[in-house]
Amino acid sequence: MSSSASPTFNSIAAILETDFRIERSAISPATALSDLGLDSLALMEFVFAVEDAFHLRIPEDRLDPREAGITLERLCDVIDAESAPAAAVQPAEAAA
Amino acid sequence: MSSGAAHAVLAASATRAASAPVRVSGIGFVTPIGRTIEAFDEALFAGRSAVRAQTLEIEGMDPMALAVAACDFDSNGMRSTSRLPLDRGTAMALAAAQDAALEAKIDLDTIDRDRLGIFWGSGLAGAGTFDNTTSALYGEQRRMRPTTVLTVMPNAAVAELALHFGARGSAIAYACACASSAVAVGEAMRAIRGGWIDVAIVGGHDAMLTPGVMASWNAMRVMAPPPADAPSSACRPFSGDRAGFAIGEGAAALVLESEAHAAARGAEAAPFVLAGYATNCDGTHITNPDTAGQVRVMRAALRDAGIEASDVGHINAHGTATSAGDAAEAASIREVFGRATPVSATKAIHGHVLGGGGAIELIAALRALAREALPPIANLQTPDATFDLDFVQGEAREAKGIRYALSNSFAFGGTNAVIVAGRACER
Repeated sequence: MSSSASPTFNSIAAILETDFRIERSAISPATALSDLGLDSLALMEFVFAVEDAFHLRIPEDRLDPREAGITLERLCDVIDAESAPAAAVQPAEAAA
Repeated sequence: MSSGAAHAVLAASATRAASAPVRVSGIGFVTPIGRTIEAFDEALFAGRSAVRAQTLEIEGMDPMALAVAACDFDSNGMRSTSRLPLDRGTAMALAAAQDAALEAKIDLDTIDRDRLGIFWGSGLAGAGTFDNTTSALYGEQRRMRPTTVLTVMPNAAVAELALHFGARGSAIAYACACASSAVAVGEAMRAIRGGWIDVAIVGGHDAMLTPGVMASWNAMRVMAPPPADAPSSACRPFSGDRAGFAIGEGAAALVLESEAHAAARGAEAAPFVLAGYATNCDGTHITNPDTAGQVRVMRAALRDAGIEASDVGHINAHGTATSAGDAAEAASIREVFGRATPVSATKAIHGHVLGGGGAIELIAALRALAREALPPIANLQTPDATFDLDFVQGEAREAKGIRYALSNSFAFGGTNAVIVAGRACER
């Protein structure tokens, strides 16, 4: 489970704050993707940015950003699960 | 008043509006020679070039030595109004337009945005982004960004500017290669004169310094090789040893406004107006310029401004430094102006910015009016002996009392556009 202090969560929070201009106070593990105030294209760009930052591909059946109710915590779990085989790889700087 | 007399008055007033000067309320730009008036003027009047050598290496091809002029501009932190990534050129367009609007002191909350238009030109628009995106697709990434279409479409910058400024009057992209932004400026003049809109944010851009786009230009054999000892001298307009242009990137924007609208909002007096504009097409060849077409368009622009050739104190030539381009333009200027009017050309310092070039070079012409000085043609040591014109060579030339300057843009495809800029006090 990712908490608000997990490195994964902090990385995606930084992406949302820096690249998508979302107030840090509006970003918590329980926040649903659909409540970030991003339209569907921006949500897909956000997933692209996450994939770039973590050097991974999120399979479409694991996460459709347009699906209602997916939270940032759930996204973190997917990232952690997809990263597991290459746990030694550090995520790139989110703001890079 | 009889109905005949009323019609005569209306017709006279329509004629006046149709030829009325349109004021320049603000300018902004992102260019290889800088983003501020101070930096721009310094390079412009000293003839200092931002052109550098760059070696382009593409697997399986011989390395290409290219002359390019890049902007010191970081678009990575910029986002669209929809918080999506921006094409580099669109980011430059937005930055230039924001600067122009700031200088014009346009209050978006109070102006009638149904009468605010965006007129914007680009030659290759999102080609740079498309180049990068598809090389990633065919390379390691094997995925396509969902925003690719929105960032590469020819009206990407127009759409972004319209969203940013909330423009509801019009938002039109002009694509006519090297004349794109000059046409955008001119068509906005016509829309304001015609009473369709009051204010327009106009200009153009291109940002195409990516491998596939640069290789495409190089394949045309129009790019100048950078001399090893002096790469900034690659582009030599009107020179006997000219060898083509350096490819540049950048954006330039102007806020155009009717005098009546400016007066109604209590705007400060603007020093410059656009007095005349004409566009036509050679109708002869896809790349070879046609002197007759250029003669026609320059004369039409003078007529539109209601002035004679002898009223023009400065010509900012298109001056691509290609063999055919400069020859055709030297002949057309000679035919319209004789040898009397001094000629400058600025692509040697900021590169050929294609769709953004007309707007950048119009701003150079406005700076000549502002400083009452004519910029030299950088890198011009010995003009082509067959050109009988008064080129501004070596250093800037004083031009006290200059009233009008003319800026030429001649494009692949045969589209020509000429803008006559003048001092506001002349009208």
